[in-house]
Amino acid sequence: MTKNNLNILLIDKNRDRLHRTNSLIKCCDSSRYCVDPQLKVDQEAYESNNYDIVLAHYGNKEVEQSIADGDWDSGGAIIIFFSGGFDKDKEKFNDVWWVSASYIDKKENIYTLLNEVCKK
Amino acid sequence: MIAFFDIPESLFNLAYWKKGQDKYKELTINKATGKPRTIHIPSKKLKIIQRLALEKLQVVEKFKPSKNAHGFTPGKSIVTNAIVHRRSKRIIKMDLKDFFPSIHFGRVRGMFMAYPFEFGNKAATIMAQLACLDDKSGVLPQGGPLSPYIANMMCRRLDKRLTEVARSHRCYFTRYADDITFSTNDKSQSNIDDLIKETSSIIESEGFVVNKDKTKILTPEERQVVTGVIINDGINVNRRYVRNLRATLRNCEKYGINSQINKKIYRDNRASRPNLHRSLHHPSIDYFLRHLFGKINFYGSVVLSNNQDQKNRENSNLFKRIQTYENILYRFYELLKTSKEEFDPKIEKLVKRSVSKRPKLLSKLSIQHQANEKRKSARDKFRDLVGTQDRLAKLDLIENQHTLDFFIVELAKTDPRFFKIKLGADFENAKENIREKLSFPAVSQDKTIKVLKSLFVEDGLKKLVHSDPISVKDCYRIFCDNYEAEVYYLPVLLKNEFEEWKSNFDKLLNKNGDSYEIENILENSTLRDPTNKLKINTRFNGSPSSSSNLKEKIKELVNKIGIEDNRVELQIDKPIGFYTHVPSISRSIYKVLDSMSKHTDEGSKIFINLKKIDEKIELIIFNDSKMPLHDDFLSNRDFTNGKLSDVIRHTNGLCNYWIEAGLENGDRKILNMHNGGMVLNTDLSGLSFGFAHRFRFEK
Repeated sequence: MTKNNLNILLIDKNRDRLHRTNSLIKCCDSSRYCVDPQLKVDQEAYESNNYDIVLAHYGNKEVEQSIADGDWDSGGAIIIFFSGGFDKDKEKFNDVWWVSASYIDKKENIYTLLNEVCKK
Repeated sequence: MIAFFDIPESLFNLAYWKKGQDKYKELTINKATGKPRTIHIPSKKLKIIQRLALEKLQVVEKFKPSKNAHGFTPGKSIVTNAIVHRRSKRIIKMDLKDFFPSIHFGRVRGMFMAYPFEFGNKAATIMAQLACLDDKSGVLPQGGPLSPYIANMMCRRLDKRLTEVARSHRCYFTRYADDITFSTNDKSQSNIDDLIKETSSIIESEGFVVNKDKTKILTPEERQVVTGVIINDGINVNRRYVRNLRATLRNCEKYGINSQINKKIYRDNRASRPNLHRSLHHPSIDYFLRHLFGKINFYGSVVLSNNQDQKNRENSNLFKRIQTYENILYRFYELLKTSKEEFDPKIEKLVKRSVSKRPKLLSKLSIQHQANEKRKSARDKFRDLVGTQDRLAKLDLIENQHTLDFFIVELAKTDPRFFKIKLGADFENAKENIREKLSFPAVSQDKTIKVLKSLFVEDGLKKLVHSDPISVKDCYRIFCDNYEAEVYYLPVLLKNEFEEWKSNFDKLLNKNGDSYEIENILENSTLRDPTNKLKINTRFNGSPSSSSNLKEKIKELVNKIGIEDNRVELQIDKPIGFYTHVPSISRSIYKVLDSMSKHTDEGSKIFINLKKIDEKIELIIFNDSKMPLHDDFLSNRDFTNGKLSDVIRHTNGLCNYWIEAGLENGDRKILNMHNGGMVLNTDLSGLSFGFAHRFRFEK
């Protein structure tokens, strides 16, 4: 990642959690992260906005059915899935991150996660 | 007088001074024997006055009837009357003739003037006028709220004298209205004769007449019935009573409550209240249900009076009666709960209160029990289906192995459980095996998908594999709504997977109760590992630690079989996720790969392709063999060996399974391996060569 500002697409159908996660990311470094919080997203918006990071709730239909299955082109964005159903705090497989919902519920965890993701 | 009884003066004047027939309404109903009985129903206002008077009189200690009077006395009943006489070697029953009509105005007035009432002349007259009929007879009306009380008070001296007689003859004595009962263990006939003689003389001296036809001496060898209750072996009602209760419930369950309202509940000559009610008004469901509940409660009061609840094992007959009562009560409760007909909700509350008094029934109401009941009812529903009955009836008619084989082949066309089923040589055992299988439904792909899908549906089983807090009770509710009714339709290995997982919720329930709050299922020591195991075994290509990776799995299988790397090509580029039963599908892939590796010619390659078609996921295992197969190939499933038969069984319910091949005539043919049916060419895979196994899953 060479850019100073990182575009993050945040997708979560849970409105309260969407706002909370958005605030937590901004708290980490508001000058660095430009968050686009969305309750849901369609293919066009997903593919045309050149996001650097996609932080997506795995329980959203379009996330599970299209993003996770690789049907939509992420344009090289780093994908992070989160869900209350994930057992481990965070794990990485084939360049995709999987984090538990409770893990990203804390500011310091989001900070660590985004730093780790951006290092790459 | 008015002040003593707290009766509004206007009401008193209106009712008391009212003359003529309007004070009472005459009604004739049948006695149990079939003979008519005349009832006098007081007018509404008179009834209110009589009730107010009764309430006031009953609370005064010295105005209470004798202890031996069980009829119409608060806290006493026909059961308490009968209990006194159980386990007696001789029971002597006597009856007073025309009990109420023999108590007339003069006697009532005299009674109120005498001890213990000692009312004045006028007050006693008013009381007698209030209680007795205002016709020529002036007798106590049957149907007046005050009449039973007055009759009991009238018998106080009689009761006292009969108690003394009973004591002198080593007997117990009770009276229920006009039914006088003595019981003794002294079998001597002379003692009994003397007792009857003395009793008759006392009764007559008290102004009553003995109904000699009804005087009976009962021994333990015959049915000892006291006030309608059987007392030979503990306290019981007659069999017909229970049978009729069961029949009524059964009819209500089968045909609906409304269908039973107009029916006579009991097949005897007694005019039951719904009939009486029907003659006056339209029949009502509330009235019917209250009446039925009353009957059930009465049965309960009878069987529970045996005090066998705690030490119930001592007399199994008495214990069985309690169980019968509990079963009937519970069925009634379930009937009200499941009924679509509208009725007063208070009735259900009353019934629930009765149910909650029985610890065993209370546990039946538990959420775990409800879940079990839902499962059982789904199974019973299947067993009641005409198709199920029909298949079982056909099986019963089969008398030889040849017909049985043919029957199994027919079954296998729609149910892969029977495809190439291995049965022992013994004909009867084989039949029994088939019968057992037929008593459970065939695997349903729709229901299997429904359960699997509920793992990612918000209100489904998803809640039970997530970290959100949830109570054990809610967990069972979710099982009830998403799993229990479908459990018998799941592939057996998947069912076992869910059952094993669910058993951990049972452990938690048994340990902590249903109100226990699980903070986080994924961190709970009892549920964490089983839940993760379930996830890994029901999900391909989800998060790495809580799902199985299809590509890795296939690589593992290829290595296990020992196929050279250059003979296999994996075309799984995208991590398409789907829910299924991972061990069943892995086993099927193993068998298919094993079979393919043996039947694919050396120069050909095996391909494994995963792709998404609309909302479905297709896994195709195929080779690039250019050798066409004989035109007759794939016309049925007979070519399958043991391995492919296993694949058919293991994929049944989880996905569609087709085999596709190119034939000598240039055509390509597809065969549905689950039912042996040909598939239309429009469903071809797009392959122009090779032999292919195609598994189509729901996304």
